[in-house]
Amino acid sequence: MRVRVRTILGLVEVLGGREQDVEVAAGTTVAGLLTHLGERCAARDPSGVFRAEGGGIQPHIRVLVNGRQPAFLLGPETELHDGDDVLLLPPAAGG
Amino acid sequence: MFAGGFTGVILRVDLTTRTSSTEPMPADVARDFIGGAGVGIKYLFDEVPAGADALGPENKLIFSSGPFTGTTIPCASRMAVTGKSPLTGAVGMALTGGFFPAELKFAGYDALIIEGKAEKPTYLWIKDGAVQFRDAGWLWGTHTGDCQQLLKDDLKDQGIRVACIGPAGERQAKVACIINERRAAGRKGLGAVMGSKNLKAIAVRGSSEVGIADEAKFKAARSSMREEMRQSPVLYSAFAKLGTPMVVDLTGALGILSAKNWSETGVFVPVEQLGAESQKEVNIGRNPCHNCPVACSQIKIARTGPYEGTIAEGPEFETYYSLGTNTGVADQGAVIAADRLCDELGIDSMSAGSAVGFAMELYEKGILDSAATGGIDLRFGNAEAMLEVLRLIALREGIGELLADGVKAAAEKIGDEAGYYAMHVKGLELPAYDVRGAKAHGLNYATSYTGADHNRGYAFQEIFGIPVPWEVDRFSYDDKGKLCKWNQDVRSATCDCPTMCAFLLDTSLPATAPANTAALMEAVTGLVYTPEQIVDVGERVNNLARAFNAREGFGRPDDTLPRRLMEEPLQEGGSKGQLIAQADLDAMLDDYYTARGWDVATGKPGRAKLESLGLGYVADELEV
Repeated sequence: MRVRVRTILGLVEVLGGREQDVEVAAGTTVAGLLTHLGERCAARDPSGVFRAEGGGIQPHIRVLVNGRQPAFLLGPETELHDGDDVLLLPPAAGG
Repeated sequence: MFAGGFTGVILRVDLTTRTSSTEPMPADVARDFIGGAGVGIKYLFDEVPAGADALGPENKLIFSSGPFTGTTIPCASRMAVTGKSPLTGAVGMALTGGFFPAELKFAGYDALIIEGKAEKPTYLWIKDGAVQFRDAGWLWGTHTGDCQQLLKDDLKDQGIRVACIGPAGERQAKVACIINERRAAGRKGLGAVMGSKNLKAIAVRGSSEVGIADEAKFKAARSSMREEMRQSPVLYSAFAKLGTPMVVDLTGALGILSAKNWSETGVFVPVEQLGAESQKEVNIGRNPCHNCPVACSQIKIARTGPYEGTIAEGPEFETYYSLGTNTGVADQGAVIAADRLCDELGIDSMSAGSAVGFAMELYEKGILDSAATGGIDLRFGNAEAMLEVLRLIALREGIGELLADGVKAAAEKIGDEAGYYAMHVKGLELPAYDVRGAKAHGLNYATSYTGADHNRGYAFQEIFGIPVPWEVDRFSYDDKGKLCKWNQDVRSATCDCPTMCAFLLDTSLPATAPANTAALMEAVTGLVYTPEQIVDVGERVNNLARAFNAREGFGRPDDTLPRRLMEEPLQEGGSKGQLIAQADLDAMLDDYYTARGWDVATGKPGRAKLESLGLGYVADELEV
């Protein structure tokens, strides 16, 4: 299945673009996607946004699935579906 | 009288009689309201009678800094300007930074209360204890930048600080602001109040220092705060470099960057043209406020196109919305030029840009024709038209006369159908965040005492994902009334009153702001508070402001949102499908009034709540 991964600011360089479609196996969870992205982006991730061991992402990066934080879904084990919109947000401020 | 922080002196100026006097800052006012917005609203409620004409001599203009202003506490440069808003008829309170607030403090004053109306254009020259009323006929008509420089030259002191109005304030345009340096007490039309008093400018120079009650505690509290700033994951690493425009990228991704008068949020998202990356080409410097180590405010230059070479301080995020996405203008140079024009003419870029976007939608829908626009092709995206209409607003000429008093008044003049497209709450135009995708932020628009004002109860939980005081789902309505109250009270108590830059609350102190404020208050002033008592100050201020508005006739029916937000779901983007239906707004309001201890049917504060906050006399005044 295919999910849309979007990001902003400093993470654009790490992910290799502002948005992209990513192919993952059916049943992939949020945690699984982050592991997949970590492996895929390792060469562009010298500061370790994605954790090399055990998957996941730095705690100050916000992950939203279809606009919602996984905490309000099923946490890292939230299962993704074809066409889902996954947003990775580094800290921002101001406004 | 005070061990530190406060000068203990309020300067009162009567423009009608051309007299000034000083009086002590009452100890109980300092204790209960701290300063800034709290002191401003206290004097507004007590001294401006119900039903006063906001543009009449009975309205007052109160400039009030806080006990932290002028100290070496980082990011405490600010000052509130308070009066009855001519734009809304409710509390008008706007904060500004820069250097004027500290200078007023150095001159010896915690607050300056302007009363009456000068017979002819006047400026005030305040040098320490001396106050002079001077002719401003020669300054009338000047832009704000020129006005400030002319006064410095005339007074032969480049170090003086000036707060002034431009041509818009002189004409009492209700979207007029007050400018000091390149900062603005921007919203709610307080520039029109200053203009109504024939007061062109206030020049100030001071030579005293702000006292500190306990130097050892002060150094410890300041160090603790600095450490929290250093630990922030965003303050120095990103915010100091990118400034507020980074929120263009964030809100664009979240699908809440409002566009084309809120008709194309999530559809028209020009992040590449107006967002953080595009700043690199135009940023040429930074300009910190007094004693600010962050320096988020950026100097920008238009690099190409017809506005090449134009320099502005800003635009900030909100202006990239109001003069950018909201008008369909995805052009850095045009937004920089428009921002500079607003500053020079002395108009609030947010309300004025909203008015232009509103007129553009009406023009495209055929509700306004070319006769109404004076032949201006007022389609979305027409940058030249936007700049021309901004100029006309400030001068009250042509279509500018229609728009100069904001979208609510303009819609009433045009007729019923226009009202649907007038994006405001209580007459104050909406800020950038399309709150269909951020419910507590929307509830704050509906209930803020100044109208649709993101700064009075910013829901950083929804916008930035900060899990304080608890983690929230931005699309959920659960407990958003309680959250909105928390945001409004903490923001007021820890930012608007002491006074402190609100960006620190979001970036560095979300969980510790009340304790930080309490520690600093004890160190600076000698007044001892618990963190809970600090938050109580915010609740007191919000209740007193609400009482002022209730006395003016505002109630639950006014705590609402534009129909578009309640009837049209977002079409595209990261918040697709979201809206705030009337029933959901009603449920949030019930939760909010209950959390506040206000009457759920009327939205009025009751006697028990007011008395618990030491506001029994307010209950008497409201007859509740």
